[in-house]
Amino acid sequence: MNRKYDNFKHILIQNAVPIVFLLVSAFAIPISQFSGTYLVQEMLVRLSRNSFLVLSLLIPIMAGMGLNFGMVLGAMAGQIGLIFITDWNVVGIYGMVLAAIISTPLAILLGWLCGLILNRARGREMVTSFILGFFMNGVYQLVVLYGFGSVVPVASQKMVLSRGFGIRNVTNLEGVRKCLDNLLPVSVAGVEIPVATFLIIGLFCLFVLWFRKTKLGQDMRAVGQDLDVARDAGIPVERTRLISIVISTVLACYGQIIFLQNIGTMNTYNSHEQAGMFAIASLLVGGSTVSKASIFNVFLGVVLFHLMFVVSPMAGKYLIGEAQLGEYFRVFVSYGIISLALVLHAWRRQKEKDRTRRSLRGLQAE
Amino acid sequence: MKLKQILVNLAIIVFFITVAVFCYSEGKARNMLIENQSFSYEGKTYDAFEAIEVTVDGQDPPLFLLEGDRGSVNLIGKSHVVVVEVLDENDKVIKTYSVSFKSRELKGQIINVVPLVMEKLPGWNRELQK
Amino acid sequence: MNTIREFIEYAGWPRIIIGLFLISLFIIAPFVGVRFDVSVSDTLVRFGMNGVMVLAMVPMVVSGCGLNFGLPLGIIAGLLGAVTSIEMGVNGIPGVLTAMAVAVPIAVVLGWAYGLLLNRAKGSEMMIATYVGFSSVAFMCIMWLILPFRSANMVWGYAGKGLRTTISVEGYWHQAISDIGSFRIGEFFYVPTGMFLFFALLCVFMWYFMRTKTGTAMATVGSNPEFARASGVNIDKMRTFSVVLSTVLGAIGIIVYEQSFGFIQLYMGPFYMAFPAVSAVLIGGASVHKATIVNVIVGTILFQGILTMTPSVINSMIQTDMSEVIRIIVSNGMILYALTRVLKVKL
Repeated sequence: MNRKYDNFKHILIQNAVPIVFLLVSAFAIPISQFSGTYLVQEMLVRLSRNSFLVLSLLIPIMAGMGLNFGMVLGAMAGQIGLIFITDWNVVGIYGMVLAAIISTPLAILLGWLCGLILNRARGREMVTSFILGFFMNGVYQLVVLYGFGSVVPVASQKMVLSRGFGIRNVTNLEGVRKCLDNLLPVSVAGVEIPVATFLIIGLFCLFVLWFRKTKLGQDMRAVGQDLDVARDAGIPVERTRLISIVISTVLACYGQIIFLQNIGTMNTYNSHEQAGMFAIASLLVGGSTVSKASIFNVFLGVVLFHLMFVVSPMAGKYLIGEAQLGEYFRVFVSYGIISLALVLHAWRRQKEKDRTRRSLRGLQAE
Repeated sequence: MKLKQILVNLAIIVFFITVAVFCYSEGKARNMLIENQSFSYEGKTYDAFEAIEVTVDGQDPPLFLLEGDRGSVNLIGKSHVVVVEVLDENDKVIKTYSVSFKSRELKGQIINVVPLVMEKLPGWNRELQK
Repeated sequence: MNTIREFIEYAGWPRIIIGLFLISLFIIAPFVGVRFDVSVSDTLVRFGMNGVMVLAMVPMVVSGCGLNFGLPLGIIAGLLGAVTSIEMGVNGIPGVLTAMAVAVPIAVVLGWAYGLLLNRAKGSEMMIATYVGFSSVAFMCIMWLILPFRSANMVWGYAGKGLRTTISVEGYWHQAISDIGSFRIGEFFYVPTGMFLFFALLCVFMWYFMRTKTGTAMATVGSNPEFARASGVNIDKMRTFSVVLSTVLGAIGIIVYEQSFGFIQLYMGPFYMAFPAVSAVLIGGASVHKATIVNVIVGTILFQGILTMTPSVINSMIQTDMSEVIRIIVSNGMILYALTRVLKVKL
């Protein structure tokens, strides 16, 4: 009887975050008065739009680098690619593929830089990648707000600010809008399904599963579990960590392109910031921790997080009379969830350290 | 081992560059103006059509141009087909022309259907004067 | 020659480069049309404004809790104090004191809870601090909307409830502390002596505190936890205390900031406010494990100097407004540099 209760408690704590989210959503959905069809359609769209970005976070977690806040760098690279193809007026799926190809070298470079810096900040990877994201945002603004139009030639005048240089705040991606989604359109009971996008996501999942079995994947898992043991076993630890970040950054770059082709417009200076934040929040909501994440966490997380996202403004409006409150509530929950997950993870890790330390000291009462 | 790696890397890069160039040429969109104006060449004058429907690359809906009208289309890719249906007073099609050309042949922004359907008389495509 | 080399080793190349850069900016300024007295005065004022919040970084670094990215928590306590003081309509110095009197107890409570949280998370304090800070700002956004404040200067016009985003302290305690003993030279050179005195007072208090038994215990917890435990110091209690101290200083700091700035910024205002303070103390020579009062003073001058001078000089030179971008790059670059510095053991 006791064992079952302990087991149940353990499961509850392990999955505290998704459970809390489920409860909040279950409470808020009926209040928001959204129809079931609408929610299903919204969730499908958001799944197709965001999953790739969240999936890109899996590999650094595997390699023990924690949550890769530096995925924002990949998102920036993707956006620069999109700026170019919009300027050159290359449309449709060709435009999207071209954007992906041009941004890849940039994403690799940024990922490599990020990896180098993170290797120098052992033990503090998450804060460092977090700050690096902000720093790169400054560099990105420097390039896009001042470099484009002056140093980098921009042919299309309507993309440029009125002062003559710098890209406008909103870049219209009409040319590639929904180009991937509409490649293989399927409609089921009034719900549109972007098959091509899901195919790509599926391919990516297969890639992740295959990657785990390769030598490089195994190396990363070893590094993630115990750095020193891995080093002693002859694994090039620094290089492995660096590669994991590069892969993650490039994937985030493609993920951002997929994200933006769905929305159709790009907030030149804001879209990438939200990308990082939402992706990480989604992953944590799905039940992953800083050291362990699975594909299931990704999809569960995207659905739960975006469910709350869609539902809370309306729920706030009907509950308290202010939609603005719902907005703030959703921001609060996004950040709160990350805090909660981080605290839980750190607490668990500390408890394990204490347990090992206590057992090493012999069972002495403190 | 090292030489093989370098060659493989080079091959990958070449592959991607090829794909990129392909995408660029297939996806490049040009905004063109289609006009229906009378056209003179070597002393002969060809009148503009009274009313035509122009379909470029199968785009829907087709452009409806009266004499002297101009419409805008987006040309995407490398080769294009222009179908010109000449209409009578009851808007029934009396004659259909179909002309194809490649993006490489384009020099300017304006295409005049009159010389275009006449076996692409020189000058069917010209720059927009600013 | 030897003393110069010693100085360079003591100060570290980054600080020297930044110092030289700042001095060169001051020199260039008059040549590009920026008045020298305005530059110096602005820098001094901003130094006083931000000093206390930078000082708030010291306790937590010293006790091993890392850089206090959760400063917004203390700032929120200070904001609550400030709006309460305006709600009550108190002016001048009593107004400031009311604000502090309300803010400090709130800061103690918040800091204590925050400290408990951090004690459960040894090793990842900075990341958690950041997100706790963010969450609390987001939470307060909801609170600012529904808390029952009524003062006409603070609430939205037509509804009559819910606080506005920015609240002016003009007419209440604008420059109440700054104006004590202040003087002007000419039209542009204003020296807020009162604010400097207050900051100096807090610095002296901090300096003295670090030499008390509690202060040294706190420092031991940070530098050598095993030794501290062996000496019978309760590590968790010391850490919590440092967090409370830091939060309280943050609360006081934002009030000093507001009385000089002239506005109370609610909602998303405090969101990023930890970062300039963190950058400043790092520029001053602190690291993730070590921070002194000298770091605070030097760092704040350098950081605020650069933040004031670079935009105005570069804007005048290239005729474009690059201040925001430069601010982002400089402040985050500094934090990055500090985070990637490997601990060098000096034998």
